[in-house]
Amino acid sequence: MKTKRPRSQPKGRQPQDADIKAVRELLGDAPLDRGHLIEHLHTLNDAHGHLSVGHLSALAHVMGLAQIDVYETASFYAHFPMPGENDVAPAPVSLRICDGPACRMAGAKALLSDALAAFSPQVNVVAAPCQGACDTAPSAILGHRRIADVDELSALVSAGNTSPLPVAPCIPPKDLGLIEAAEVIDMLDQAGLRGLGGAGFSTAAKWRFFDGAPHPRVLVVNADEGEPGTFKDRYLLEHHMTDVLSGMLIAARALQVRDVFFYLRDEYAHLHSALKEVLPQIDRTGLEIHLRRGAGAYICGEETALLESLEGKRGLPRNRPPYPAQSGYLGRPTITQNVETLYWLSEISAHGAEWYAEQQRPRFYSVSGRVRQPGVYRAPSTATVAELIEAADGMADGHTLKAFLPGGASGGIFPASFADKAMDFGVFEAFGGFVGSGALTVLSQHDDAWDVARTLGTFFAHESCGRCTPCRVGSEKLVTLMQDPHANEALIRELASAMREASICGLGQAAPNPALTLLDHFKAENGT
Amino acid sequence: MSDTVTFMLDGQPVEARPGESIRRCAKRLGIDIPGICSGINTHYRPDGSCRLCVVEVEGERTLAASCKRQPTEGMKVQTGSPRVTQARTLVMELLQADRPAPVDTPYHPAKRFADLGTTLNAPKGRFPASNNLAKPDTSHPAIDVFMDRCILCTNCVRACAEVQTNAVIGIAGRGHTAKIVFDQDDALGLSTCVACGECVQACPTGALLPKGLPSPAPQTHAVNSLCPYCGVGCQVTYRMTDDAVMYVTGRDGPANLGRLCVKGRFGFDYARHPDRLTKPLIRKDGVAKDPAILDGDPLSQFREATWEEALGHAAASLELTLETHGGDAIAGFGSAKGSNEEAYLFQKLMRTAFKSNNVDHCTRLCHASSVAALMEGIGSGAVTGPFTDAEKADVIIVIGARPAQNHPVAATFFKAAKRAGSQLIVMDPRGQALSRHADHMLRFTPGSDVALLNALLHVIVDEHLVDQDYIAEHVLGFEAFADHIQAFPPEEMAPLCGVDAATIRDVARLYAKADNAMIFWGMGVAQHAHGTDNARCLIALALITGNIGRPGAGLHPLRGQNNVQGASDAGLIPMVLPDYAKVSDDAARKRFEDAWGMDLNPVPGLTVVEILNAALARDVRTMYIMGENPAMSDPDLNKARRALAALDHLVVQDIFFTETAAFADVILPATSFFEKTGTFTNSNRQVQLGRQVLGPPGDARSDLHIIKQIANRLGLNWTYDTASDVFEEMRTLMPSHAGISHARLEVEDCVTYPSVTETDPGKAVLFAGGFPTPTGRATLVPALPGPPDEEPDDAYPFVLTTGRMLEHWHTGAMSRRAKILDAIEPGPTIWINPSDVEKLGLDPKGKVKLTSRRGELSAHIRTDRDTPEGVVFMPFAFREAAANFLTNPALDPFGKIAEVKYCAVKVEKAE
Repeated sequence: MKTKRPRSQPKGRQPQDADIKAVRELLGDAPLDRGHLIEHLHTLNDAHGHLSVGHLSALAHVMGLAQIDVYETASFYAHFPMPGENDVAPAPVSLRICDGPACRMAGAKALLSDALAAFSPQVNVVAAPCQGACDTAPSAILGHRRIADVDELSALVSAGNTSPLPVAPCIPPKDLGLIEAAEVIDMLDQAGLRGLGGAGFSTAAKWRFFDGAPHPRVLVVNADEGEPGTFKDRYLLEHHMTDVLSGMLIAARALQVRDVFFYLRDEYAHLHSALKEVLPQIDRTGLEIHLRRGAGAYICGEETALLESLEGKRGLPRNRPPYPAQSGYLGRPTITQNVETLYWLSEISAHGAEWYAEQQRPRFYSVSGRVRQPGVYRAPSTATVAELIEAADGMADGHTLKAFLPGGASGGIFPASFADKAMDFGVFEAFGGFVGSGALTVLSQHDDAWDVARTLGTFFAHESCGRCTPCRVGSEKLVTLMQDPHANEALIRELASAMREASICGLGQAAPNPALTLLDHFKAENGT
Repeated sequence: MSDTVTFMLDGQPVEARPGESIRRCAKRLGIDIPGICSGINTHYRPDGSCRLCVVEVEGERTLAASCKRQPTEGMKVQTGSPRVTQARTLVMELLQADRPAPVDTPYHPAKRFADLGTTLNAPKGRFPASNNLAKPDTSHPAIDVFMDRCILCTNCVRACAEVQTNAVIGIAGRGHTAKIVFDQDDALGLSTCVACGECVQACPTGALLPKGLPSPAPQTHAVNSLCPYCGVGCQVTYRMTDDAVMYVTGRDGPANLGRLCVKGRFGFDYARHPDRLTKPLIRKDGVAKDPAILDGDPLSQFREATWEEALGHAAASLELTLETHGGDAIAGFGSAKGSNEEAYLFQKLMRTAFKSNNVDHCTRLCHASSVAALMEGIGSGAVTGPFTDAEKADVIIVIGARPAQNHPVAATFFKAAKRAGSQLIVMDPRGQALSRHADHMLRFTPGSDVALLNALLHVIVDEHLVDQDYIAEHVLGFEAFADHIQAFPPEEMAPLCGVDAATIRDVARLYAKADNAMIFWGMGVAQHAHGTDNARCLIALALITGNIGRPGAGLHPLRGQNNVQGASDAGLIPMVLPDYAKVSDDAARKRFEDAWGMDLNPVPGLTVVEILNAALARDVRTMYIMGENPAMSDPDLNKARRALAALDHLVVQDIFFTETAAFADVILPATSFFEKTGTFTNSNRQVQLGRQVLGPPGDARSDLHIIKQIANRLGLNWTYDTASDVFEEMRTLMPSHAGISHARLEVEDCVTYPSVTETDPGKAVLFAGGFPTPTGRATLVPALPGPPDEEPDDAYPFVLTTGRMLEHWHTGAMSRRAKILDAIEPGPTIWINPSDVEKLGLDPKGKVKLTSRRGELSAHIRTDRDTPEGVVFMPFAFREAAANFLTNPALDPFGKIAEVKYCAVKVEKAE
């Protein structure tokens, strides 16, 4: 490696004219503020299948940023391959094969090795975390195209068919204009609507934080659905986009925001196309709606990490307080709502708070794993695990219920004996878990619960932002300790306690849940 | 700001101050909560990421980072409960996992993590090991990188991104593979790193270390002093072994808040360079002085002498000239690198022993035009407020200054202010490090300053954005000025200055409407034949908008040398005695005549370039030059060197055999900054104490001692023993310094003048209530745009502009003998726009020849986007291609400053 600086130029890498020209052409007249950095990284990556050193340096130059600003951000997100100056660039088309629990049960490991053998290096084949397609497991995404049936993979690869499949056109919702916040808040209070991204925080209480907040205010639609096993937001946007957007408008008007950011996970490219088409059709006087793509980072589902990402930065969760309602996007008062929460906001507005309460606060559960019909099921919050399995047409043939994950990767793993418990907020907490985003993954006698726990542990270690010590170091150490969980039980518990107590955000706090719930509830059956 | 908050800390009710974190409050009350990402570097934003400082807040599910969390009324906090201790110890165990054994280094900042580890005494070896793959990176001349030691506390990231705002260091990747990188994961030596070393001082683990420190660590001791380079006046601590400086750390001084730049941190070793003069030298009999000697071995023309002989020789030659040609045939150059005390004694010597006012220093090549305009306009030549006030300004204008290179630590305040919400306007023909931070970057046509500034003034007057009340109360000449400025609408000035009219209007409105706006300027404004006019315009901007006399509103010419302010204050200029008492003012002069016990010359003396012109004309016969290097720093060096060679006698007192020393008859080996104690006054008018760190090498003697010896050989009978003795005399004659003494500075380290009594804290911001003029008001002086003295033509089609660079100081005498600075920038380069390189068919890796009407030189090309087309830039620090051979000696009529920022040159491929 060259280590002496050439004197013929100023310090550091200088952007090259050709790269600057190429970047300018690709960006066109797009805004150049830092908030658009990730969008621009996508533009370059979509065009080339990777981010080259030269393009990154030119992008920094064009945007008036330092190289490190661009590099730090780009390297945080899994969807940006960044070959070094001396590396061979990966193939322009990527094939991401899901590595989540449901897909593993459906043979994702074999799919990955087969795909590597068949397509690499002509296609950049990589393993990826949950893609929100557990209902059609195993899942893969070729370029931007979601593969519903992996048997079609070879044909699609040969055809170079990487564009997303279109979804049904969405009718833009009507803007209701000014809405009295107090009325909506009362309604939400009566309805008892809670945030359905996973935290279950009272929506009315959240909105009250905005009382007296200075302008300009911000609303963020969190469509970064990433909790393994969760795909209900995708389902809602595919089938009820108008209602979701209607909820978004009600919130925007009631909260009197100036900007709405719709942050959509990058895996949902088909929805991106639909949103890109419908959002400009919304009559939105005095309101700016910005559609932004995630870039492959689970942590950006966390609301403060999402805000950092919107600002064009690494998705690092912030210390709270200050809460986003006080200081959020670029320091402005910000409220973030999950897609499903907005859907129910729209429904409650249409049908009333009583209707919602009478129906026992219905929600959409993602049911996957060893059931006959994996999919999204609407059920009251009081529905039990057993009822949801029934809703999914019962256990798959040849499988009996052994264990389940009530809340995706974070909500713990519970034995069949817990199947009579309701999939509601506040039920599994007493046993070291939670339902979170309502993702029920069902395991059978053919599954090794510790193996699932280790898969989840690896997922957390991979998705940890790396900011705080307990999570950054702890999540990786935990995976190793879980290789022999019973021998390491004392240390696992000690580590888990520190991670729960001292991590900044929910990721690190919840990462030990699979291990702890297994140790707590499966000891008798030795976890297997 | 809210009131104090009462909360329970470990069972005791305590009061937190507004804005105080739990940890800071606890520390104030004597409870030390550990932490490594925050609290270990003063002034750094707490990060809340290491999680060592977690505390228990009653009623909360998880522990809170006490460095971030502010207490609320009634909150109950436990700082050492079992829950807290358990989490904290485990976090330390995780931080220590996979890290190598602590490094044995004398570098104190690097021991902090290991020391904390010892305190917390976490178990070791319980967690399975992971690969620690980081390899050392030793590619940089100043800083070694050992990332296997890194604990990702991110102090270095904040150091680079927020404290210095250099934006080189960041974190790549995420999770347990996240790592510290430079630029795009580049080797540090190939990165955009400017080697300020802030990260090195910030790092608690030794992952970043100064290069080449011994291990095992020897015994060291610390001396608090100052940086010897620029006018920012950074306070530093020199870490010493025996009689050598081992490393430097930034001290929490008012001007630097612990920050330093590459020169201050890594440029100290010139003092022990083998080139140091250690014996008095006398020119061998019969060896003629000729400018050509610099190409040979000029040192061979000298022989060693005893101090007795050398001082006798020097004094005798001065006396001989005095007797034969009179005092006006004697001239002296003092130095802005010397202390206040040295400057004072030097001018006193010239004015008393020879009755000569021909005493000047490099301020003439620097801010003389600014000072002329300031004296004329507001009655005072110093800054009206400190550069640290940038953070209080809503709008900041930086014009004709490249502070990231020449005042790097001052630049950190500008960049921080911008980040905190101030609007930054940068005006410079060349792009620069501040450009990308600027809200408006006006790259105007070189030499068109007055056209641009008059257009700004026009908009402010034309659009009625002036501060009528302020003008009515404090400003004279507005009516005439308003008439005059009518002739310069932006639409007409735009073609002249190359900035479009709409931008000019925007910038003018932005500045005029700001609650508080501050203007900073440098050599780009001053070093022109119309330098005084440039400064007049800037003063007018401040006066007609009332942007002066408040924190965050004012005028600040960024002073170059570490003591250019102090040397001027001490009277090292031909027109004024100490404290700006005019020599021509009988009453003012009489105070000094009474104190010094003799009549003084009432006629102002000659300035730097005038003195050399007079030497060529044989009107000046003998010179005493202390610590200046006109044979490198003056314009049109061929002429300047002929002038030095023409002198009958030249006494040079310096620490190195400079280009000027080559023309000497007697060379007196003096002491460097490190080898003496004295006071130095920075750009903010802050008088600070430089303490002796090293002993003088060989037979070198302190400058004060040498001046005194010469004075006494000329019959002056001086009895000063120490710098403090000299300062005591100064303060009796300098009302602005009356409250300052060495004893006070020993305690306070820094006092801003004016400080009239020992308890007067000094005034950072001046002129809130009026100006030190006979009327108490300021005066507007109109300026007319005019072309530079020498414009490009067919024969010389390029504009040459000269200046400094980050690593090299002035004529390079010091910085080129500092090993690290020399390693980073070892030779001269000519900076040229890539499209000109292409147009002229030059080899970007080759050499280029520059020719002006006065000289020629060649050096390597540096392709530089920041240099506009049609312009070349050259630093003047390199003797082997001295830019001043080319520069134009045309003088500004008021400041007598030369137009070294602009001359016409021809650019060709070098043979």
